[in-house]
Amino acid sequence: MSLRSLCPYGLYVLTVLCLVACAEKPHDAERAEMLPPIYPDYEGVTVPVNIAPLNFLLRDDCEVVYAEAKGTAGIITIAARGNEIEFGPKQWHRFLEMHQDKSFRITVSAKKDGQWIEYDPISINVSGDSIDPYLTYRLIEPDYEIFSRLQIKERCVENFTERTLCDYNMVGNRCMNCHTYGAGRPDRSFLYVRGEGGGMILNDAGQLRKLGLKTDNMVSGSVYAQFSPSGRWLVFSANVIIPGFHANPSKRLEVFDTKSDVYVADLANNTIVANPILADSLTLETFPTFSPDGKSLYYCAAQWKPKASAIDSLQYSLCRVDFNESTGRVGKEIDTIVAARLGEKSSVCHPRVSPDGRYLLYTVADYGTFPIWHRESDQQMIDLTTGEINEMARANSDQSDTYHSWSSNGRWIVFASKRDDGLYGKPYFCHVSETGEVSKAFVLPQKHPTLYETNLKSFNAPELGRGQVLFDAADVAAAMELPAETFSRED
Amino acid sequence: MATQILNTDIAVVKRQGRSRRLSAAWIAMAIAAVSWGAMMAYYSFAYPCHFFWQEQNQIFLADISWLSTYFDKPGWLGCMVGDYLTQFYYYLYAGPAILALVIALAMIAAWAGVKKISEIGALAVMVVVGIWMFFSSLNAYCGLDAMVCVTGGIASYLLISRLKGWGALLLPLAFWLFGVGAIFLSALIAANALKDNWKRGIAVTAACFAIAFATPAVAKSYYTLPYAHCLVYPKMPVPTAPQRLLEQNRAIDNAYYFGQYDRAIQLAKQVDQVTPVSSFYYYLANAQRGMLPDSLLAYPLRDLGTLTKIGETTPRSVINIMNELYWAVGDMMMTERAAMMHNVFSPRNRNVRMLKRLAEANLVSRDTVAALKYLRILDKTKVYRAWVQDHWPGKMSDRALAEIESKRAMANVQDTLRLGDNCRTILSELLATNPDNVVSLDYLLCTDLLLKQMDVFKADYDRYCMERGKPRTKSLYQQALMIYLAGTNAPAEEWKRYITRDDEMMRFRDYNQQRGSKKYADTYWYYFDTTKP
Repeated sequence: MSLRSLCPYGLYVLTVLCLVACAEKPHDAERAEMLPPIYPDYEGVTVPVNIAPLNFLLRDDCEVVYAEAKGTAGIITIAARGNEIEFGPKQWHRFLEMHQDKSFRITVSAKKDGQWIEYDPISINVSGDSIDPYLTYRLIEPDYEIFSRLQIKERCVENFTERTLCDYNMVGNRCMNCHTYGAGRPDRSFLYVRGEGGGMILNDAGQLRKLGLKTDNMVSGSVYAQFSPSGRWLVFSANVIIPGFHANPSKRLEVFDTKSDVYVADLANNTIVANPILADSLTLETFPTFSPDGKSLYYCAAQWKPKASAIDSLQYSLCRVDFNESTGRVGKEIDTIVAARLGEKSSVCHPRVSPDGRYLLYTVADYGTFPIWHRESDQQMIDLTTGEINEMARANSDQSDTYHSWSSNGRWIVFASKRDDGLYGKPYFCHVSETGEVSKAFVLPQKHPTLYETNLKSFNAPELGRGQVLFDAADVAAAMELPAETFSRED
Repeated sequence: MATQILNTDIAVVKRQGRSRRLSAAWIAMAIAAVSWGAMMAYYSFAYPCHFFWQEQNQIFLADISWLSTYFDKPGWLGCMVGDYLTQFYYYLYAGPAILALVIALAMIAAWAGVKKISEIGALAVMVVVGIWMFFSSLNAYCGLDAMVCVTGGIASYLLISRLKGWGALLLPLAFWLFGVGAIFLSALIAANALKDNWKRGIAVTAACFAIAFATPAVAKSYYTLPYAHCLVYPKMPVPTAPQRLLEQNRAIDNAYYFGQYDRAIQLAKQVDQVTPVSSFYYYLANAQRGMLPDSLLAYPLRDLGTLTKIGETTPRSVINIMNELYWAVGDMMMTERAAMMHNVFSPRNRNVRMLKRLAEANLVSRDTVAALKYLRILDKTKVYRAWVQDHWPGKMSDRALAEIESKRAMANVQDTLRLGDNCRTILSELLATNPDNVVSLDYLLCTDLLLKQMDVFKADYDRYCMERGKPRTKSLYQQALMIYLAGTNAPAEEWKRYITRDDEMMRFRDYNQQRGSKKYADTYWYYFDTTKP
């Protein structure tokens, strides 16, 4: 007898009850006439069909919590002592598959002082568009000026497994940052390990290379970098970065460039191509990235300011130049795609083009290159075919929303948001429809949702990848022992 | 008949053996009990602040996601139990009792593990273990987690002693549970095996050490630790001499932390050797009572902390005092920065004192969501839950609210960008917001005077005192003003305007007759004439 035949209306009933609370089902519940005070906030979000269980906690003192996830194709019920709901992974994934491109509702009830309370149901949409299964991020205290005990992690978003790609213990407690994929490919990525003996650790089909991406004439080593579609070229900025502290406690740390230029490195021949148009001493060029067809190079540019006190007028525009993938040379004409407007929230950071090349996602802030501590910083998306700007109101928050990455199918984005507490960045995901409609954001689910309450690290620079990266922390430690490959300059 | 006599003799021998073992057990128990009492007394009366320091430099949360992080490293059980017990170090005498008990248990376990080899030797080993662990415990950076791991490793032998040499196969399990403790377990298995059968013992010894040293080699990638660290995780206790000066500095820090300013001042005066920490707290405690100018020249080392900058190479003790300075003067941005920095550099990035300070700083800044982040964490502790309830936004007790409001009155409302932690800028901005911030005013003026920057002092005094019609007529400032007025040949009206204390005027005249005389060592004139800034 199949499970389906047990249900006269073709519904699956998947019931998971905690042993300790199997008798605890809501009865004589009072209606609360409000949404449940759950964390994370999943009301009205759109989730990919392959996402890990959306475990949550009820921010209330209760003896037992009961949740019923119900859609047109089935039910999951779960009860637990305390205030945490954790769905069984198998049941959860079956449930999502059954509700692909549909929505379902979760009704939460809580037993307080012996009395059951039933809250209004929350609604969740399930998109049939899968998200890339892996996410990498750096775990760091939100004090970017100093560091200790950093890690770069890789998390499978379909479940709760996490792996360490670089660990402070293995690399002498050095600074490390930015694990970046080439088009989401697990066999093509890089990260930096800073400090003496450090360099860019390049994942070249699982073989790690240590690169010293610097020549004598550059203002610094590479800071922000991206692969070209073919993987042969790497565009990067060299920046002289100055930290500063706002007197106003709500603004905290500021970081700005006093010098910055953009270069292109040829990873096949170990040369760095200097294009004068991207290394103007009176212009600060930074955050370069390629278009998916490799024919354009996008970056941010601002007029150099002689004084740090003028930082609030240091606004960056989004620019584009042609790029020739066979020579590594850029064109001579600079197009301004989004112009900064003095006095308005229009300074652009972190441009990233969607895999289909249609949209360009970027962060806007009042000024500067460090939107992480700018509460006003939001994401915007420009349709490169029409020039229309989407302000992504449903995705943004009143805290910093920045540093984003696309899923390889172009239907999902991940970004770092400080919306929960203003301090600790967490990876939030949004669905982007074919017409460019962006859904409400939801945070990366955790096995124990209290992790976000007790965790003292920011999830920094989240990036989505199509598969498991082909190296681990031990490989990076071994690569650190290699001499850094040098690069010569090609003018 | 002969058999009967023989049986009787055997029974007697057995009784004697049992009785000897019993008496050896009693001796061992007595040694452990006496050791516990002696250590407890020493810790309680000669080393109490060491415990409070350790309690502050960690946190233990009753939360499953937090507890699960212990599995990321070897010795999870020892580390978890150690951290759980460390939180009770907050209470007076609890820390000494717990640590002394852990060491006493390690002594008994060591005795029990060695007694079959040699009864006398077992007592000697027991004493050696006790002395080694006691002196290791005096090390500021040897936490209870390491002590519990060692004790757990030694005590594990009692559970597996019947397995004889086969117990070596359980060493990976011991490593998982007790980390460094596995090394001690392997030593006990090997020693007992050698005693039982020399030839077999050699094989067991080789197996024990091969497994004990190979397990971390295999596990190091999983735990992402270098081999040497993985082998002795969390830490191999290393004996150290009592750190008396450190203890004295911590005693001052504790007294200040609990608002016992008189005691802090008294302790700062009594230290064996003055240090930047003792000097800093001497002044900060005086500043809290508006007496910084009265005390500036009274301490042998004049370190206000205002010229200190903190960064990645700064010791945590200095970051700690700077956090207290910024909190005292009311700069919440810098308070938060120092607290974050202290937290970052604490063991495992956990420091409960700084989490509390981060909650306070954000409450003062009215950043409720940020404050709630830290309050929710502290709410999961046993010790600070009551404090959290006292400080929960919207439900604050009158006392907590009054403290937060008093800090809010001092808060900087300017939005300038500072390129460093120059205290002059910080203090000036705080005074621009709230000129009645006496602590900031005194720190600013006293820093000017220590640097002998008389023009700057005069400008600051004019701006924050004279122009507001609130002259601060402390002896120190009157004396400094006299130097400035005399040095600039100021007219009589200026003297009259600034110098309002006749007693100081009279002394100044006397001093000028005996310039540099030690009779005036308590005056700024003497400091100005004899000390290089």
